[in-house]
Amino acid sequence: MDTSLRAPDSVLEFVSSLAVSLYDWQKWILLTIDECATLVRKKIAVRAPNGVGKSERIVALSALRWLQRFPRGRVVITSYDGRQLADQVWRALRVQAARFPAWKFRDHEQTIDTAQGGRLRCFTTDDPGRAEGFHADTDCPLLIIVDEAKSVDPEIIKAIDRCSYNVLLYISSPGWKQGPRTRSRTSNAITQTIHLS
Amino acid sequence: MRGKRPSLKRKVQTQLKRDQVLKLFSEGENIANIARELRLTDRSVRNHLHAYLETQSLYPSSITAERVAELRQLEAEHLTRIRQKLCESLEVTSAQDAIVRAKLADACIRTAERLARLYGLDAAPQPTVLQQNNFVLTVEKQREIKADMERLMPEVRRLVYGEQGGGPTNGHEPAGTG
Repeated sequence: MDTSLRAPDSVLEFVSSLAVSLYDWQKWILLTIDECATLVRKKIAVRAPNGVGKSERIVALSALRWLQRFPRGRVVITSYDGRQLADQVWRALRVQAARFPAWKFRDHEQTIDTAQGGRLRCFTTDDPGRAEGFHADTDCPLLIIVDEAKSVDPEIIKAIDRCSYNVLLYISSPGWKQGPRTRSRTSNAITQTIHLS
Repeated sequence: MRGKRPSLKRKVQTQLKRDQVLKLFSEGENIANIARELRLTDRSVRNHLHAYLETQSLYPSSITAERVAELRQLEAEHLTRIRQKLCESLEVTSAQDAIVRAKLADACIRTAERLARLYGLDAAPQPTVLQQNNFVLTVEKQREIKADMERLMPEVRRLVYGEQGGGPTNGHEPAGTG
């Protein structure tokens, strides 16, 4: 066992230090997000079946890794349904709270604040105006995650797209071929699509 | 008399005795000698010192910093004994004695708070920034992680920087997607 006070070099080391095991495809997606973190306006669309660990593994771990890697970074997680965030995403984040004593997990607001000023925010809205206004900075990279993207209102997706993010992750279970996730996959050359079936 | 306010005369006598205790203590006398000289019990001397700490400055001009530290140590030992007795009492009380248990727990907490104040733990909370930097990395499968990185990173880099590729379709083999 290698125990040290150094920061994890890769997302896989980070995940291992949280004592979480992953499938290959989950590692592959997390590595892709980690690799895109230093770029700007990178979109990643992930389609995976229900119950395979999208929210619990991909969303939660990529968000925690972002805050660990960039202590002043920002993470915004949104979904179609507030219950989805509260029951799955926030719960998966909360499980790891003990490993980050310097972070403040606020259950009622569903936010995490790092000691250096980084922030993770989970929110849902039906007002596109409220989905705007998230912007990255030089030392505050922004990760936006749209969970259950196939059900999110296209107007909200458009509003999110106007934010200056580093990585925008659409993640969803399979649905019909319409909506923002499909459009981003087919029309935007910078979108990386990861299709799991 | 219990429950009755002490008279002024009594207060003055107590204060004079307390000053004598502190004077002897500042001259380096130990508790037993002070008790013998002033015809008091050890407990009374401790009580006087304790009262002095409660009511006066922690650094009275007549005693040195070393003596204050010693005084503080004595007080801490006293408090620790009290807390130990309280905790023992708390353990032996049954669940039915809810009020007793609550009072004992409250006393335990107050003793702990008093101890914390005595050592100045409440005064300057430790900055939490350093804790984040000391994220302890415990990696049990370092070799596997390295192998995974070597296997998966070329595909990841190809997807991010180069041609459009795909990920593992069934969780095993990296393969292209649409």
